[in-house]
Amino acid sequence: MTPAFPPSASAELPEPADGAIPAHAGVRSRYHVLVVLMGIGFGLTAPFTALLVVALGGAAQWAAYVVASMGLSLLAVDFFGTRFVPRLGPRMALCGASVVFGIGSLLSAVTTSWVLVGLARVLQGFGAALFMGGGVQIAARLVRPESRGGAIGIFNAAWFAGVALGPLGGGLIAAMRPGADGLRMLFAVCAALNLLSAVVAWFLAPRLAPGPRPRLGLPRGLGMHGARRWSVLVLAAVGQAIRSGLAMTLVPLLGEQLGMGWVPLGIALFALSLTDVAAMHFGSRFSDRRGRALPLAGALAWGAVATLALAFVVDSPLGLTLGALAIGVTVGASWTLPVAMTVDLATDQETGLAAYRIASDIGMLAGGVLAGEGLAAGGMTGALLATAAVLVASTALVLTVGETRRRPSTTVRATPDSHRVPCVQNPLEDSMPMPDLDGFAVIAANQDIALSPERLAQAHATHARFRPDLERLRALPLSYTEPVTEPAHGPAWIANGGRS
Amino acid sequence: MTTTAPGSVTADVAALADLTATELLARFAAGTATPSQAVEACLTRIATTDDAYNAVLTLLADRARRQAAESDARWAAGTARALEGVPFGLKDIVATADIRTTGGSSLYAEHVPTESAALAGRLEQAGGVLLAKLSTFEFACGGAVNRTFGPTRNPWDLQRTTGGSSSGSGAAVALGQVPLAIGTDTGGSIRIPSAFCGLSGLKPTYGRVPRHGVMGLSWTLDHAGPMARSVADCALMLDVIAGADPRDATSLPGPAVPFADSLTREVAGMRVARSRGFLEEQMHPAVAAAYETALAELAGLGVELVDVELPTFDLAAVTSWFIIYAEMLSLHEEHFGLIEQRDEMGASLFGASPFVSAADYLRALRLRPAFQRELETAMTGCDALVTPAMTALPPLIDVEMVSDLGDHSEPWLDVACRTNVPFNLTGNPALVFPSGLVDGMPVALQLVGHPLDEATLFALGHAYQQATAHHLHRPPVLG
Repeated sequence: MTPAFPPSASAELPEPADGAIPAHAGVRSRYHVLVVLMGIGFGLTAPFTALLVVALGGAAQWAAYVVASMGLSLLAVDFFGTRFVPRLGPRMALCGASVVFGIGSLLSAVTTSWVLVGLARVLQGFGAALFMGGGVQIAARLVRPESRGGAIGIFNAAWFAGVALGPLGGGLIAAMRPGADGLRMLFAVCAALNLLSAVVAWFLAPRLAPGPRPRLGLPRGLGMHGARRWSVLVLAAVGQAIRSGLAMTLVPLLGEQLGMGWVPLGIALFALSLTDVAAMHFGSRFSDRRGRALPLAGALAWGAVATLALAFVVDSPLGLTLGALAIGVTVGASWTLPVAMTVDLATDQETGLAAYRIASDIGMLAGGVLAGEGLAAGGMTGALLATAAVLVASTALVLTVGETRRRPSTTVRATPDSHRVPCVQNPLEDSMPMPDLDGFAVIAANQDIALSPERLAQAHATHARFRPDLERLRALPLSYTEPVTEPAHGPAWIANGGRS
Repeated sequence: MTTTAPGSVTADVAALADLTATELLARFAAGTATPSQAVEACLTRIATTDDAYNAVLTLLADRARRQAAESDARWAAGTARALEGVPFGLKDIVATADIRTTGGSSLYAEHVPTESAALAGRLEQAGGVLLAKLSTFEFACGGAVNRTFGPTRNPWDLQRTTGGSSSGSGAAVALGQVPLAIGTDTGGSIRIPSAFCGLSGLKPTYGRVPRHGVMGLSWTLDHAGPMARSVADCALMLDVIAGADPRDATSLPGPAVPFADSLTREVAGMRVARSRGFLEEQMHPAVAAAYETALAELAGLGVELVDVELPTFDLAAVTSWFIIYAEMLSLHEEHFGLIEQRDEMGASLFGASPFVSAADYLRALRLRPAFQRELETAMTGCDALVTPAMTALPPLIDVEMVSDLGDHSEPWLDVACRTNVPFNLTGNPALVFPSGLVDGMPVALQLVGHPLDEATLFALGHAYQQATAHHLHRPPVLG
């Protein structure tokens, strides 16, 4: 089913050594196996939380609130842990994530109080936040910096595969016993699976050199100013609100209203996750080539139509499954495209992504709360109608924001007598990656220079920002056979009145 | 006109603080004012404004009064020199013998040089009266919040920065604390505060003004030059400080004809290039609109505006920064262990300096002529190049400032240096002068000239100021 957490691309990247040791393929493969396993463990119960609350006597409205409560822990971690979670070592991050998530699941399994399920959900959120913050960091450190994008993509694919498989298995497990007992058994299995994941993580987690010391504290400035940037953050929040409010709350509850068993419902939610993952995967690539605004606007409008169909047309399990398939497109696109838009418009990637994470967390909270309020005020039809209205308004907002994708910079080929400074691709770049933080520390040490970890990370971020232009500079051809007298030429040109 | 006890002046005398250096010299020559009165007027202005704006680091009242008295005598005797009796200020990275020169840093808080900088000596030898050492971003590369001496505030809006690094020079001249000040410019540090404070300021041709005695940031890009309330005053001051000095091997001869003579040159028929690419593509909409209005005013002088291309000039900025980093480290290496005692922004820049490889630094130096040739080609057949001096209004003072570009914000240093630092790299002279107001804040044009051709810039700038009144606007605090 749909992943319940902000996208992994949003995890803070620059702090620990990035790509300190390009790991061999075996290490990366084992890591990806672990990620799939953890994804299954995390995804097993996600869409069934709302159903457990209802089965334990909670109102549908409160089920929505409980689903949304994970946003509290994510928000707390994103506010205070931006320099803590990404700096944890692999074992600590992965084992800790599984253990904490498992304990949350166990709490839900043993309780008969839906209120405790809500608290358990918050605990699960801390585990998820540990995984999302630390897991992607590890993926990025296993490769060279220039391969980081692909590594994150593979990490996401592995993670989403696990998360998508989860609900299918969840439905099967829950169906083994009737009612709440089946759901509680599902949470117990989930707890066991996560504890097993923790053990596996202990052995399969990659070994990496320690990064800077983890620190708790408020995030650095978010650097988001201007109406367009704030609008994109609103869209990010809407994306998560749709995920928590519609995909994780209203769709499962509608399935229950239609009398679907856990297995058919698991299949419907699996269908949703399929199009969700597909939209995330292909939507990102498509938007890199063709732009973000129109695909996102289209996906949101599509979602509005599908939601209205759920409200007024769907009256059978097959209809719900088809509706879930349709909604998955919207859920996936509204996850990945706003993050790309945020990065497009951000002052710098790190602060932009921090702002994105916080907006997403708020969206997750708001989505559940609004779904609950909608259910209380207007029942299922009212809640779905309100959701469709939000999607229509979001479509309009996307069109107002307009396209954010940056056009690729053009290059100019060198010509012998051109007055232009010629630019060509640098054929050496693949073999000359930017040094990582550890490399920076060595460079400083070789000059008998001592810098605090924070100052070193700051310097690294500065040079990372310069990197694209530096690569262009390095690509400029300079003559080997002509005499070089620099810096004499520059002042000589000036002294000659600017005549070559 | 009457004088009273020091520190207390009549309204007529107080008004001398609002005159330009050219106007003061005319009054001295006509006998309607004296240097002593001008100094008292400036001291009074400092007393009434500096608590709020913090432009002055070291006030030299007694010394200035003695010098002014000598100037009074020279005017009376008919032996007045070029700047006789005109008060001026020096950015506090310019060495002054027996007067502390802090560099705006706690590391040099008690530093007293034994020899004055070449340009400081020339100003005093021309009769100028050094009234104050002025605030600066730490070592000319810190941030607006100087942790040792406090922030300097913009006379047009206390919440905003003057820009820098010649922050005190910008505020002091705008406030009428001095009519003339020296700034230095490695990536825009004369032109940015001039633009932000509504002044005229010139980054001369590289080497035109000797840098002996000026604390260095990057010897390939460092310049020193005048900041004033009119283009005419910039020419007046440059005439005094320009010219070779054996203590600066990069310094160049002064002009064959005084720059002041160029002010009356005919500008109708001149061709001025503009490049709509990198230099103009990211501007706050209101600033961009004001820029177009100013260009229309420039065209109204009979100047022909010509579109040109600088297709790879965006790389000039990163090239400059790699030179700055490498040379900054070389110059300040002995302070590296004290990096955490510096302003946050300066520390962040300094902290990045050890990670420029020798090959990248030398590559940047070797590419400098390529950018020079690109600019030369673009300006062929043109007398100057015009650009916005600023693409956004001065940011609000903060440790990490950002500039508002309308639909988004960016780190202020990136924005402010964008139109400036390329000409530090090429070494061309660049003159900024006020061109209007946006939201009550001044905006400015920049004219870039051919190397050693400051005269054309002065002619164009002066003609613009004769035809418009933008440079006459004063900060609201002055009434």
